[in-house]
Amino acid sequence: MQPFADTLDDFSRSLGHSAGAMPGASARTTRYSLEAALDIYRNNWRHNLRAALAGAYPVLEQVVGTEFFHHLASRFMEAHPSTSGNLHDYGAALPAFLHGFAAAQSLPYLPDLAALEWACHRAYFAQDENPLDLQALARVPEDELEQLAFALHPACALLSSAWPVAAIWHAHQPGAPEDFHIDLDAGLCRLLVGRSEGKATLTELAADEFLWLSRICAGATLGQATTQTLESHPDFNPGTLLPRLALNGTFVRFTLEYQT
Amino acid sequence: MKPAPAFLPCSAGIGLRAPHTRELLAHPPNVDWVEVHSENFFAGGMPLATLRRVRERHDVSLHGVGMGLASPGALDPDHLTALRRLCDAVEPAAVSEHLSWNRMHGTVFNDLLPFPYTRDALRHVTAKVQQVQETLGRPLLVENLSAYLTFENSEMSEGEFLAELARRTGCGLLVDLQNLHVNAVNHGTDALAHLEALPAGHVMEYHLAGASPQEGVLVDTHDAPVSEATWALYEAALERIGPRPTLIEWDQDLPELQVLLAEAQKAQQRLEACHAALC
Amino acid sequence: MQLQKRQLITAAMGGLLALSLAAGAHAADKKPEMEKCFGIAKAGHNDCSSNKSAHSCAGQATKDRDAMDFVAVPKGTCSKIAGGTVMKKDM
Repeated sequence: MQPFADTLDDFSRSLGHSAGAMPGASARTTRYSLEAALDIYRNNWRHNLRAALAGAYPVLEQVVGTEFFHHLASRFMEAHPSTSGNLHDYGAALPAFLHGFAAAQSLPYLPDLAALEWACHRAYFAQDENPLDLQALARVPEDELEQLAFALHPACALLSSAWPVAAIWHAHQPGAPEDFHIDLDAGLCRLLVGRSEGKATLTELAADEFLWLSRICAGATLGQATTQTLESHPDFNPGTLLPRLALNGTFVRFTLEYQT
Repeated sequence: MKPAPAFLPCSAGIGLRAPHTRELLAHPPNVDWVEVHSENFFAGGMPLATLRRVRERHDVSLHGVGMGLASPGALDPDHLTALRRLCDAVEPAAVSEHLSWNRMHGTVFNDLLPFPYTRDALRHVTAKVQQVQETLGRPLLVENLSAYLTFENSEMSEGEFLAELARRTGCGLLVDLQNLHVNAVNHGTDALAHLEALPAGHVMEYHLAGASPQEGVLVDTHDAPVSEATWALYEAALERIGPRPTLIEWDQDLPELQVLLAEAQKAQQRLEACHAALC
Repeated sequence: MQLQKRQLITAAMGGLLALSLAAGAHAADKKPEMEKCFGIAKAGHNDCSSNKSAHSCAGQATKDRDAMDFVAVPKGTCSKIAGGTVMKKDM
């Protein structure tokens, strides 16, 4: 390493320590202690990461309370340091981290709730896309419609949970009544996360719709996805869902996939 | 959007933060330009759409906080690509970064960290600034730092470092007078000597901000009006370097937009009172 | 099922194209996505809120105290989220 980089290596290791020892070999202060200076940097670093987490996980923070969220964030940043200069990238691993976070085991729905919030966070920052070219779509011959495959808007994500995480999410949005009670036994929750007017939107899907869209999302053609869905849901009909997804911006591009 | 200008107008602008954006769009104030933190707009979506709306009426300066020009090793290629895409999307009047580092062994410290001003660091940062400028196809402005510690192995002052960096790369300099004030208070460094060290022709922008007094250390909190000491440094800079586009930065405990605009007006009056050659 | 699948897809695509013709007439009235949300809302609660602008070049005045283990019990709105079979008391 270059000599100046050695100094920074010392500096970075001293930041990683909560107190005492290992200041950079040549780091100096004159009007206060070196420890006070390092504390400012440690403080900024932690504060910036926690603010980023609170920005991505506002519902989680309300659900567990500020103090617990603070504790969670502190433990998370020790286990998962930032790897990006863009703070909006920070926190992707929090849902998985919550699975193993002993202090949160009494709230088994937290990992799924966090996964939902991360999907909403990504939806907010997703790239814009041009809408589906409906005129071009109208020119696809009828006997080739089964070969259609659709790409979903980058803001879109599919999630399913054993817990009513959508109800929890809605109950913590601005303007929602503060007096609520959510029954955790309400059953499975299948969601399409998207974006409308700049906000993340949640659409609850039926089991057959979720399966069908999951297949489309994985690259299956209309024919393949519909066949697979009909196998387990004989009454499935995409007659409402498909137009809705094509017109509300969920589908942004189509291709014709011919099997060889 | 307005046509992309060659550079920022030589007037006082404000740092635009999210809570003020709606009001700024609804009732566009008489301010030529605003500055935003680049990383908040990297991914596109609503933030970028909103910024493009702002660009219909105001020139925009992109101020990066995450590039870490002095980090050992390579720049993050994704970060650089995101900045280039953002530049293509908003056609900014200026693009700036801090003279700091933030990355070591893959871990990013999301802060603006100081480093020793050595000759090897100068070679390193020179290469990074050249890389950014080549990628963006435009000069970068590099800002001096408020630092809470110094390094005994520094071989030159920050001002000398920046002056040489500007000569080697052709980059512009963003002079943050609040940061000079913070360093003067914390380390006894000579702010006026820093100004003297800079090649005036490379200085392209000034920053002004305020900080709340702390015990022992002056932390650059950007949560208060510009202090008298910083106004005095600004006046010294106007006299020695000349008038340049000047930004009021306020990041925490945000006041009403009107308070920011009033601060900008104070800077504007000083700019107009300055009879040196126009910038 | 092959026939059923084909009929369902043809009908769904037919429905889409009919709807898109109807929607096309209204497209001009539709405001751009950004109209309603310029980035202000109750902080910390909403996608439009200022907490999505995490970046700042300021230092922090407030000292970050590390929450100790004795506060390691969730105390938010989780008390309003409960169920009979899932809240295992022994956990």
